[in-house]
Amino acid sequence: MSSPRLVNASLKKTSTSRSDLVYSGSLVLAAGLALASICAIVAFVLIEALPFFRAASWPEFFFSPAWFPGESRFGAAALLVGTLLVVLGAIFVAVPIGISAALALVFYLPQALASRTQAVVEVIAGVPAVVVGLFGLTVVVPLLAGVVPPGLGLPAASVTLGMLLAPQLIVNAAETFRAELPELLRVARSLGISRETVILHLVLPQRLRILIGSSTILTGRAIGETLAVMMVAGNVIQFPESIGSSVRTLNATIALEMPYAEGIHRSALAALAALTFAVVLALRAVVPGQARR
Amino acid sequence: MRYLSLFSLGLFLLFAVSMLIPALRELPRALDAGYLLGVPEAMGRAGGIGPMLFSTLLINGLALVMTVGLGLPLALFLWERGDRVARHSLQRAVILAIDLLAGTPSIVFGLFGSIFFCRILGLGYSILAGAATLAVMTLPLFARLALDAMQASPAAYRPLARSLGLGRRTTALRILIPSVWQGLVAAVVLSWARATSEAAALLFTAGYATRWPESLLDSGRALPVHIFDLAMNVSGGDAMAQRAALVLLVLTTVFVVVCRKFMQGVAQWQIT
Repeated sequence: MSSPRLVNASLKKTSTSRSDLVYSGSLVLAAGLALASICAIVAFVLIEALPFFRAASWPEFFFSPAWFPGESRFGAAALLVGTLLVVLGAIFVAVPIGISAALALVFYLPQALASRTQAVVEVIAGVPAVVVGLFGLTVVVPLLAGVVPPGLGLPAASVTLGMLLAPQLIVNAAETFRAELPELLRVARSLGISRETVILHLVLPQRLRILIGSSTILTGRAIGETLAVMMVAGNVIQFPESIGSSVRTLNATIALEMPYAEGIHRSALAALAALTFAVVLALRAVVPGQARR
Repeated sequence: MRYLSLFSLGLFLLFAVSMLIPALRELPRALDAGYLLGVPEAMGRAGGIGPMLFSTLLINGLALVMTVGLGLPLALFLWERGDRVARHSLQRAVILAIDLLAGTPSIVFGLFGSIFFCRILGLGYSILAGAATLAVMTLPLFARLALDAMQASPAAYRPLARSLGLGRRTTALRILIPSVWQGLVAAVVLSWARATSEAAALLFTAGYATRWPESLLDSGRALPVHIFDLAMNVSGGDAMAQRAALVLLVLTTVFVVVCRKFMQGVAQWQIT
């Protein structure tokens, strides 16, 4: 390799060698296949939903609660309202608990205890959704049955879904609070500002955007969660009449009716899936870019 | 403020404990060979989970092979084009697609899989269809994590390797991948955890037969589906559901924790 000509020759040889061409070719092939499969899903759901979109009456789809596939009546309003209520309820449970628990982790617990607790929270964040659903069914529902009968319904679904979201929110919020924290605390101490003031007037307002961002991402996940909610929601299609009322979500409808759906019914289920796509996209549009990860 | 936040944390931990205790209570009965390898009886009220465990490992193993087989080239492809014009159009479009799919409900993947793999490709309710559906589901997640890991490698590697006369294949296989393998292992492990916890996407693709699968075209019930079925459709199935949940927790959570510990250990070992 001492002579320039040799180096030059080897450079030429390696950069256009056959193995490199094979490598690049197979890379493009596999990447193309991966991309195609990703695009196929979106395209597929839309194509599948097309017959329904052509035949459907839009006002009925969005405003009628009457979902009777047997009579070809597809009103998704009750499902939409049910989904939104469950998700709002879950956010209502998860966000206050998540953010204040993260405050406890970062500001109030001693260092050693905090890092151990955080490890526990991380483990709980990885618990499969169906196990959380089982917890909802065996613990939350009997507990709520005495307070807001019959137990299966909106409150149980909200608590279960909230429990599914809370650990991830705690981890995210704690990470947000920790960024550049020692510096902030040092400056605050030198100015004689109390810890409460630091939290309420500095940390929370300053990190609000990021907190809202990660809560919005979790909202997306909440909308997508199917089986855990289905296990505890009762699944009656109706506008909720009372606080303990049974509800059915969009996804639960897909899961419940897919096994026997044919023709326009199947297409209507795909339309529900397309609706959740739209919600996910809309959520993504409102999340501030820096908080997306 | 202090007491409020400590109370919230306590409340959360209380819920978490009451979530894990019923499963952990089944530990002695779950550690039984007759249970782990046995066939379920009376719709799962008695007997074991052998076929489900086998189906779970088979489905997820296959899905992982497909995910990495397609996702790694995709990530490499995007990494190689990182500094070109395409960054602003192709890469962005791909990342948008990836993010969209990462936020897509898993039941939508189930819907897609049951129509495309099961009906159109004629695979029926089968392990192969379930694995393919899971692979499509975890592919965006894996590709995104792998790309992130690759982009964490020093940006100078690519021009340096080129100036040394190394080909693209050599750069990728001998320099890039060895330097970021921990991130890639993390991506694999997270994809595994996500796929193993999945029930909704498998319900209508891999099916729910409880017998031992005889081929890849046979239906096989994964553990999360089994838990779901025991909890919802089998009266008196709660204890068995908790027992299966414990096994599933070991397959997902504990596995991930062990991997993380292992990788931290490796990282420290490399520094010293």
